[in-house]
Amino acid sequence: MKERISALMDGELDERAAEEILSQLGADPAGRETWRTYHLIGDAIRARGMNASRPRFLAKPARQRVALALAASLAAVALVGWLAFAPQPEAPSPVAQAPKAPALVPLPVEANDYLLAHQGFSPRASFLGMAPYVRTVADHREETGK
Amino acid sequence: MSPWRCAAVLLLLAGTAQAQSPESLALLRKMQAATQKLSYTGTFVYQHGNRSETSRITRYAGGDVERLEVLDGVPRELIRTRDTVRCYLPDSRVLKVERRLEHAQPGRNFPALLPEQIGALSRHYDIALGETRRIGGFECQSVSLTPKDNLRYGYRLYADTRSGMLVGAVTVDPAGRPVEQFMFTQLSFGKVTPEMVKPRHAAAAWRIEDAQAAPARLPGWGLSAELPGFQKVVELKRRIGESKPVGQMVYSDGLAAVSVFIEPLGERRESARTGLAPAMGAIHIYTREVANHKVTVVGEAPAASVQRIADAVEYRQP
Repeated sequence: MKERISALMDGELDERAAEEILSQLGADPAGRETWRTYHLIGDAIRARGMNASRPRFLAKPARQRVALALAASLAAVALVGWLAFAPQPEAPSPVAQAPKAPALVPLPVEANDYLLAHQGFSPRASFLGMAPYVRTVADHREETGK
Repeated sequence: MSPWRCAAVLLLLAGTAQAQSPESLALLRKMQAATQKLSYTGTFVYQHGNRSETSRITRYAGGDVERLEVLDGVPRELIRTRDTVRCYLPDSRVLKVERRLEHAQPGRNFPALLPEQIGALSRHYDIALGETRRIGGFECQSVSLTPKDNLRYGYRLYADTRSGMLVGAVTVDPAGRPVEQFMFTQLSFGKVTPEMVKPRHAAAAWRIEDAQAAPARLPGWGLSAELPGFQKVVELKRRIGESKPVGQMVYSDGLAAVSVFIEPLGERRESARTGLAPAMGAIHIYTREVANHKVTVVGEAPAASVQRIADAVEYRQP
């Protein structure tokens, strides 16, 4: 899979092969992770101007743009209709009478259990139905490091 | 009275009237009724920060059953009936069972808001009709609940003008910045069969984690100072995962809720790390240690509010 993702980013795949792998990425969290990691590596390298040691997938900028455009259009389909609402990254909000700045700790491993236990008591369910429960089964592996 | 002063008074009156307009309260009631009465199936996206997750939700009004299936990443499924919420985790072969305590308090259909309680929300929120916009093919009217202080989050709810069904919801922080949102990208009404809300997994030979929640008093535990507007609505004992019994106290301002979990640290004493966990959308979790107990406060409120409640938790020898 990693080989093919690299090939996709190099723009070495034809349209059909590219579409195929992009649809596979949709159902493959590990693959998506690889895709993201490769992009992060690419970004970091571009930011530092390390042209001499560019990885293979950055070798052909013109064709890479095609692959990225394809990926971007895929993402656009997923986001259609509500991009306008996109929240900004969460920032701590200033609150009057704020207690002293808290120490930051990792998400408890039982976070989903606490949420499942809590969610049933939130009156917001009167409007939102079951939708907020999606949080209680969220995939927090990144945050908890599990 | 000068004409200017008169105009100013009129504007002020208009502002007050807008803060609790009958139209906005009527729309909230309509949304609430739609949430309970309609059968529907749809796909929605939950987004917070730069993360988003797509899920399918189906409600069969006839049996009062709802099914939520997460479509991205690790498969997960939730089924809510009148009495229970069941959470299926096929990868770890675990079924979590949460019994609903709707009748924990006699005469109160907890935690659902009663139509007459919607008006009371205006104690803490300015409720007003907002923009109209099209979402997922539906003409929507928005109603905004803007907090009167910075202790709670605000909400922009988008309801289908025809059915009243909630099609989108944005939670905003006290500065008005979005914190998280739910948006249907596809939604259709009716045509839901009981089959469509059945769990996909038989869960045979899975580990069952039953929360065994039951109303109970937690003698000695309470808050030294309540957060303005938040009152204790229920007190119970339950399990968290496979834990020993844990106490839970829930505080609510009628719309948002914050739970306080109280867990004995026991003899092994793995001390609780005091601090705030990374936000999960509108949810904050703050942990501290009180009287040899791990106190975990979880709620859809700004971090400072969750921390204030956590800092106020105290144990007094009953």
